[in-house]
Amino acid sequence: MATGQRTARFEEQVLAHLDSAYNLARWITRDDAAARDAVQDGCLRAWRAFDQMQGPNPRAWFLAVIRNTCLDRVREDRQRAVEDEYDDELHAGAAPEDARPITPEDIAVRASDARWLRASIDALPREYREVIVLREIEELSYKEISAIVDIPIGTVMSRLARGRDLLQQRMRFAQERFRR
Amino acid sequence: MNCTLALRVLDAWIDDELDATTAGEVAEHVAGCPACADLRDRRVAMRSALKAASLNHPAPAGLHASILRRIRNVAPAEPTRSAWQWWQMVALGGSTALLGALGGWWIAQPQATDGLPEQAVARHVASLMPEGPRIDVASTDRHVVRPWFQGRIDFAPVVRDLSAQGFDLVGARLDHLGGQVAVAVVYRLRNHAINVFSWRVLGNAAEASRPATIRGFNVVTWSESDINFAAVSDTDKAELDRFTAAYRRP
Ligand SMILES: [Zn+2]
Repeated sequence: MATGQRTARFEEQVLAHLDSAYNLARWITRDDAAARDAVQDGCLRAWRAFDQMQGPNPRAWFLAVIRNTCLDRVREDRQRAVEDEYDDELHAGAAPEDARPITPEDIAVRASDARWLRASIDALPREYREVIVLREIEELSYKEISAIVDIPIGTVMSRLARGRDLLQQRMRFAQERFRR
Repeated sequence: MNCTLALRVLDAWIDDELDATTAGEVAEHVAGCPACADLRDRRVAMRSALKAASLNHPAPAGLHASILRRIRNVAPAEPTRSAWQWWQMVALGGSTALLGALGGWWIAQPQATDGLPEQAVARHVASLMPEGPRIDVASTDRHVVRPWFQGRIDFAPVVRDLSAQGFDLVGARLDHLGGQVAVAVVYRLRNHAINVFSWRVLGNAAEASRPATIRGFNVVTWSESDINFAAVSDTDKAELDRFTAAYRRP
């Protein structure tokens, strides 16, 4: 295949999903520069492997490559990996960042506060964070998530449930506020 | 349906990932159960808050262009057959065999209806990443590999030194097959990875010894006592048979 043609196909099938790739990388690494580096490296990997790519879903294939690249980078940075483990305040049952009780007024303000929601998701352990991002933001099916994260579909289901429980603990929604 | 069951699949139900029959049963239960309905409401509320917050991190301006600039300077992976280069190439993420496996990753995702040989091939393919076969305990010494599983599984995995026959032990990892925890012992023959999966037989589902070729990979399954085995590799059938014979009876 001519190089120009290959590049055009790569752009059309793979780079078309660059926003998804960056979004996933940014949520996994929780850092702008790290996400940018991981996406650049991941794109090179995908480019090299592109001729072998088959199947109906280049987006999920690309996201799997990006995710693996991110995990490699996270693994390389041992310090970050250690922080990741101990950052897990939700597992320890600790309260969200401020200890004072959350009032319904707070919730009304906070529910619209994307920064607060982002911080809540960022505080989740990576294994829950990534399935939540893939489901709630990228809106992928369990089957696609199972393929990207390389876990059985049953595990996708249980991780999502657990991740949402953790997120809910943190957000402490007064459900009445949102029923309307 | 009771609460325990409903809660297990509630998220899948909200995500519209259940078959119609189960979904109907969950809906019926939730309609009559305040506790489950409460959780459903909280989930729905959380979802609307997440949707309203637009949490997406878009790619920064210029990233697309900078990636295009970089890939223009990088040639696609060239096929390589040189055996000694294999680990180097694996480290660089450039091995043809492994990239092929990564590309074939799609068709290799296990389907609900797949038999165990198909699932074994899928797990084999999933283990072959550009960085090399996935391994939890890397060692060429079976006296290191075998004890690693103590306390992690409820049977003693078969780990043999087959280097005399040309099969080098690479390591092992915990995996899953047929919905169960499985051991994967990894060997290398020249530039081919071989995964040997073993997992406990449940009920009377002992696998008859049979070879198969699935999606270009050779598979041999058999069972011994109450353990199922599946050996998978992209090496040819004769070599895999030789491996299986050696692994079963050194
Ligand atoms: Zn119930």
